[in-house]
Amino acid sequence: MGLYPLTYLSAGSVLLFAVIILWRKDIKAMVYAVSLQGITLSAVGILEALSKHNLALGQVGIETLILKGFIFPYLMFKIYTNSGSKRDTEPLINTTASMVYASIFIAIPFFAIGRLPYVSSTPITKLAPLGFATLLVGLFIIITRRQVISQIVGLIVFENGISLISLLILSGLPLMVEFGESFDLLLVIVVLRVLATTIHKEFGNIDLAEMKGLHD
Amino acid sequence: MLINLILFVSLFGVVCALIFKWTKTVGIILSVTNVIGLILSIVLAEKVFHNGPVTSFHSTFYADSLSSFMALVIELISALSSVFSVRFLSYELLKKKTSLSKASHYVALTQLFIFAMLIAVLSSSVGLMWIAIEATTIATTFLVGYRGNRKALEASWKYITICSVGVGLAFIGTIFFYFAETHLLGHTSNGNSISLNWTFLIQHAKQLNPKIVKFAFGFILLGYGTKAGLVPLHSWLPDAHSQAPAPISALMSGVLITVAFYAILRFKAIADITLGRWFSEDLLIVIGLLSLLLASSLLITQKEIKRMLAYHSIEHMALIALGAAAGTQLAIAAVLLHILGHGLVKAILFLVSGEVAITEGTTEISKLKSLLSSRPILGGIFGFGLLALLGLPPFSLFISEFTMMKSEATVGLGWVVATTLILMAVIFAVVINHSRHILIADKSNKHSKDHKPFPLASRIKSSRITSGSLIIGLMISAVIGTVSFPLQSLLMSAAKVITG
Repeated sequence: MGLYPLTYLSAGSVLLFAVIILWRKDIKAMVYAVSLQGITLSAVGILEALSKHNLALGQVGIETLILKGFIFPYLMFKIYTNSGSKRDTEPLINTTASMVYASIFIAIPFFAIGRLPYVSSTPITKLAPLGFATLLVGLFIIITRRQVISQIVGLIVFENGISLISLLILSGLPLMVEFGESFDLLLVIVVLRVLATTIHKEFGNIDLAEMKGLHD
Repeated sequence: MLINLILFVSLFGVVCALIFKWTKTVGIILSVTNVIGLILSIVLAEKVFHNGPVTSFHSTFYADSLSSFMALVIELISALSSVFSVRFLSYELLKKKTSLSKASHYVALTQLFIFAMLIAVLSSSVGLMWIAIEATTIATTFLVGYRGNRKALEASWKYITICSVGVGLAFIGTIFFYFAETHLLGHTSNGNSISLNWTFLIQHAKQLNPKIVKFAFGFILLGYGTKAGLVPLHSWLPDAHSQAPAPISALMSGVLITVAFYAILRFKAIADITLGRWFSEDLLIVIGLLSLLLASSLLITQKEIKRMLAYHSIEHMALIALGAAAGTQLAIAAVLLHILGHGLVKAILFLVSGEVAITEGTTEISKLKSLLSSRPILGGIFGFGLLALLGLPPFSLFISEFTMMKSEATVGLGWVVATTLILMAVIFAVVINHSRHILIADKSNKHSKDHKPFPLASRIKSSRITSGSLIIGLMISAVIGTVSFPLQSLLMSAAKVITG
């Protein structure tokens, strides 16, 4: 057994924090939750590295910890203090309905992904549906939330879901790809931060619902 | 070696744009750099065609006929677009619409964008290709939002969120291809022995697990399809392509979306060996026809030239997807010719729209009248460009569309051809109607008497270099549409990379 229970616990927590983010409307709470999600995600990587004696995977875990546990939340707080809005006031779908949808998003991957060959073959790869569920919840946050920060948080949750999948089924990708992906993600978040600040200057309140200039 | 040189020249452009503040000289140096890149990519294509694939930099980069062809398309459109960037920025600075630092950022990001596209098509690993395609999104976000007004910011926000999600989905597809590969070799490792090299994947494609490949290819198509402007995640495209400055729209519409489609083609080659052709064929037909339907229905209501052109891009990506669905060597060769022809013509039309915005002060269809008599050269280029885009001979889009449809018919997809033709007829009628309005004054229209053009003094002269390069571009399109040598053999050899 070894470290399996801990890996299970961390992987499960990644999904749990995704649901907590969906549940909370308080932006500060969302940012804390996404930081904790990053930390648990890195724990999955580090635990895997320890049980497999895989140095490269350990590096990925530590990089995830620094980036997703601390740097991203720091950038989020920067936007948060600039914007002044404390709550995501009007999500398109209310909390109760969101939770119902979330339960569906969590159920689907367990049926669909479990059927793929090899996925259920080892105790760790069996957890892959957790990653897909996290990803779907993240996507749902992006679609239903109208605040700039909530959308960025949703994007991070989505990307954390992808990272969880790659950690669980592959024990990580080639290092170059792994680091390249993280670097890209960092740049995306930085760009989004700059964009959020510019939008804040132009629109006043950071509410994407007011951006209706372009549609057919 | 040649690959390194191409990348080095492009990197030189990036560094040059990063170090020096924008002046016209810097702009001209960058244009020259891109033209040198174009010449080098032609040499590379010629060399690869005769001597087979080459690698460089410890096999990080790889060029076969297909990737060298794509590099050629990228360099061609970049060279054309960078000439217009000089014109665009000089005008913006003259009118004090932009600041010097913003102009410097603009050129630096544009060069980075071109560099990232080159990496995407020249990398041997599908992982690096993914990283480069994601990097194109990052580089272009600020370019889309360049104008800094509400619409531009909205467009760039939509662009980066939707494309990040889309490209994220493509990453899952890549992960699962890798997953299939690791199981084939019986052990998982952190990638020193196993790589994500495309050549490796294609050699072992027969042994990959079909269920996993199906799953993975679905994500690849959905993900890179987003970046290519195909349904269901296409909604960023009309916004981004219409809000970006014209030279950037030319690059995005002319070549970025087809670079994303190039990624789909690479994975299609693997999936076709593992699964047989039918799987990718069915998916591409569904996505292609839905995109075509969407483009034809939304084109009708367009009121602005650039937005109209953007929907045209969705239409042509749909045609390309349908051509790829047919999947024969001839069909893929036609797809590649269409990638070149459409890229060139679409870039020209976007650049004309940029010139129109400068000289006429607007790109709204209702405000533009009788362009052909007020600006014969610009109007003429625009008219011929539209005819080329609609697929009329002698332009290359005619021959590529014709060949794609013929190939579709020969593999038993006659109903697809019929549906395509009906939808294209709708598009044809709509575009003729719009362009008649733009180009020729409507005498029966009562409003036309009230419409007073700007006093001539306030108008800007259109530049000779820019119109000259547009005419050359159109002539290239006409030449490759009528003369098959030497492109045909290159296209067939590039298509063979995909069909095996």
